[in-house]
Amino acid sequence: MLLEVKNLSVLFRTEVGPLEALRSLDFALEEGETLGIVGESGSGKSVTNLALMGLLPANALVKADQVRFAGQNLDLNSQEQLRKLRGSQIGMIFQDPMTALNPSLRIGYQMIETLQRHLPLTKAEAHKKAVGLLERVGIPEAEKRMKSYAFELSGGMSQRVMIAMAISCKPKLLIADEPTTALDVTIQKQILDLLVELQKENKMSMMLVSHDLALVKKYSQRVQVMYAGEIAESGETQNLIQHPHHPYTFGLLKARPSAHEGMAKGDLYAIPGVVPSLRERPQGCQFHPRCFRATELCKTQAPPVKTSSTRFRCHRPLEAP
Amino acid sequence: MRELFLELFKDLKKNKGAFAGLWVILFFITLGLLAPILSPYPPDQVVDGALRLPPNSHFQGHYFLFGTDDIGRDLLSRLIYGSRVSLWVGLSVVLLSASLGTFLGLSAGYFGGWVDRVISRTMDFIMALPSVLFAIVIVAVLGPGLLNAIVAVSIVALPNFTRLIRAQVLAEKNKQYVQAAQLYGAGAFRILFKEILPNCVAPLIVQASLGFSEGVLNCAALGFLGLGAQAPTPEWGTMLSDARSFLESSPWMVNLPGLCILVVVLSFNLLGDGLRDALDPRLKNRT
Amino acid sequence: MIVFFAKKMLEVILTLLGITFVCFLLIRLVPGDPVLLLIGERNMDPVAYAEAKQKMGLDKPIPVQFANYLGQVVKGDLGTSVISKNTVWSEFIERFPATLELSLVAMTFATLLAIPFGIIAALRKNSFFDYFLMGTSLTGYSMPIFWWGLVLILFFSVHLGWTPVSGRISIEYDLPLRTGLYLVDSLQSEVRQSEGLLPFWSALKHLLLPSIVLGTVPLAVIARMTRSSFLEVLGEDYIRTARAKGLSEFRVVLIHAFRNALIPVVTTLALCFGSLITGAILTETIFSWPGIGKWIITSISARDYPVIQGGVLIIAGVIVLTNTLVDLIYIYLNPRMKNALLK
Repeated sequence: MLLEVKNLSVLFRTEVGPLEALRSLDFALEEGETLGIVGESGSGKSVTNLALMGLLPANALVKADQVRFAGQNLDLNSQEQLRKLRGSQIGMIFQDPMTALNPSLRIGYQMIETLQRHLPLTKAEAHKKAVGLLERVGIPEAEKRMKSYAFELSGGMSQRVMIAMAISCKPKLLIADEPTTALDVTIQKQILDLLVELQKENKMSMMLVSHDLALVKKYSQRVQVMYAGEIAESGETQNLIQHPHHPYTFGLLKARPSAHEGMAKGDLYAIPGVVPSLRERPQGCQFHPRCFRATELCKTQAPPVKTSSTRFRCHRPLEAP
Repeated sequence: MRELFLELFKDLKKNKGAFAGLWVILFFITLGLLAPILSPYPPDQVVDGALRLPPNSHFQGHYFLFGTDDIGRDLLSRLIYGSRVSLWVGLSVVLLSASLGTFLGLSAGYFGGWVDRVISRTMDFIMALPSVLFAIVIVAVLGPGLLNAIVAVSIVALPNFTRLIRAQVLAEKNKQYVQAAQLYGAGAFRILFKEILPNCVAPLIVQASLGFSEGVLNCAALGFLGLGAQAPTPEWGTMLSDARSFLESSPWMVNLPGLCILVVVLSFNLLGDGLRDALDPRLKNRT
Repeated sequence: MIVFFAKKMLEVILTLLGITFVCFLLIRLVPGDPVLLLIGERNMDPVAYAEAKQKMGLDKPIPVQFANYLGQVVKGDLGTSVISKNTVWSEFIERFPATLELSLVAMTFATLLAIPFGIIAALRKNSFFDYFLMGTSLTGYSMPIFWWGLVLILFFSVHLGWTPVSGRISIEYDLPLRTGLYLVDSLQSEVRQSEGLLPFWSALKHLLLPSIVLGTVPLAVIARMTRSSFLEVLGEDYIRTARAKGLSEFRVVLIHAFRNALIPVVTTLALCFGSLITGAILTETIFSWPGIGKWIITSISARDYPVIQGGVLIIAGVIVLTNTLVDLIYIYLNPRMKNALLK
């Protein structure tokens, strides 16, 4: 087990009072495994990533019963401890590559500084390694590109550079937060295939975060569906797709025509309602206002976690189709 | 309009500095308006023998709260009348530069072409010279005096308003409501005044507050250099200049006028900053 | 690239031309007879008057006069002072180093304090330090510096006796001037041999209060600008990426953030140059500092019009050139613009 998270919660201290972003998350990740995390914006999927890395803003209160990574106990509030892991053991790539790279520093510089920070390399050695990495991620004329600035690259190329930087020190875990959302559809597949290749080569685990279930389902062994700061349902991809227990999962699958198998195709379906903002989290089950199976119980009591072919939080889960 | 002001007031209240600034300004405005009533003596009245008396002095039946100056005039009265002068100065500078600046900015932005080029170049030119230097030069030509100082400082403040309005006009010019008005055959001036100008009010107000503080400061500087208000006019800057030689012996003559300038300018700056913060997000919400 | 430079040069020349024109116009706008004003006499006998008028070319039509004036300026002849009878240029050169030294020390003091303070205020946003710094900055730039100088003199020179009241150096020292910058000249070997480091310290003590006064407004403005620029940059995505790579906080702030945050700060530094001249005029008056600021003021009171005309021209010219230089540096620092240019 590479990563184990028990009872993670995140609270933001704001002018309007404390806002709960994440509530008692439990999840784990094996070595070499890809965990797909799905959720609409506001579900807390990005907050989870940032919490693990210690990159949340100063007003965030992070608490967990236990977080274990590669046999080590992590204190998510210790910048010192986390800083040692960032870049070297855990890499992260972000959604918008154009803004994620420093516009005033050359690409080469940004790559070399990462390498030299974590590995005992001379400048020349780091340079050579960086060029090799750029080539590996499919950047043509890599040597020349080392001198480029971020704004000279296209979206796809920038993302490749980010990937190269993130894996440059061979981290055990790569967190990819919506890596392709800002890119053209044609480029999306290329980037994701690249990620999978690199994952196999470097024996990395990956957390693939997206709002797109179809994408996540294709590339992950296990999937975790998040809603309003909680894990609605999680399990092996096949199980989740074939027998979703949580109505939200069902809704997501139905909404994405290419994502479901064995379900009747019809008009495009959209889950009615919107994700509650941090200030408007409902009582009882978080999903009940939008759930077609909601009962009185759902409105008042938070559902417990149940396990069958998948793990889910629901009072009235869906039975087998 | 009224709701706008009430909302503005509420937002401003949240900013403690700006709120304090506002009250201080109101205090000085009151002082200025009610100067003849509030000041114990007329500003020019000389009490024989009461030369450079320290604050809290009694002399032949007179009481001088802040002491007297080198000729024997009550400092408190002069300071109170001074606030009248300074506020009047600030107001004139802002009115002059804002009105002329708005007119120029509107013309430059709306008509474009050579009108814009000429106006913009002139503004760039004024801005290329540091404010006090330029003001000094203008006063050198016109001759010293408070009125000339006001004119000079207004000219120096002109580009701030012109550029501001011009930028706003350029931004609004291409918006649909203007094009619609044009389609309906509305004349240039009608469009400018009824459609575009109301949207410029917010940044204008901010700039006016900041312009006030700059105006007061610059005129005081000119006064200090002997180029602004002339004796016996009780202008704070001029008073400072007169007091210089008595720095060691009668420091209150120096400190009190200077403090007044600092407090007034600071208050206007606080207010301007606060207004800017309060009005800014609103600016983004307007169409 | 060449097109850009050519355009910039053209702009500069046009602005300088404009300034020259205004200065030229100055004399003609002042009430009074230009001939008398430029010679500095109250009245002259008609023959000498006519001669002088013709000699100065003031009998020709205005455009010709301007052309002549322009020609003179380009050759370096900016007129002659009616008070001292020296050329305006030589008077400028004599006094410029004083102002230069004062400005350099003031700006150094301001920048060295303002940038770190601004960065710390940004990093500790909304803390006591932040509020204190911002409050002090606001007070600093609302301050009438002519008063501030007097207050400092009162406290440090009069009450404490730590610093001198006026001048650049104690009169007992007779510095052989090489650069005109007393801090530099007092370190010459011949000086050190005869007086040791005493002249240097004297010069430094004399510079202390004036540079604090002159540097106050730039300090306030730069500190505020640095803080807001850093706050903006620290919220950007690429800072998050830099942290995600495990870089030290030191590196994140001082390399990743700094490079980008510096750009608006440099622009502000340029604007400060303009306010420095304004400040210099006031500061030099208070401290009897023999620089060009005081020169202009004295000339105005003395109605030394050739000096006013020429002096303003030179000062304005220097400012325009400095601003242009800073514009160029700004472009160099901003890779996006640099690249756009090179294409």
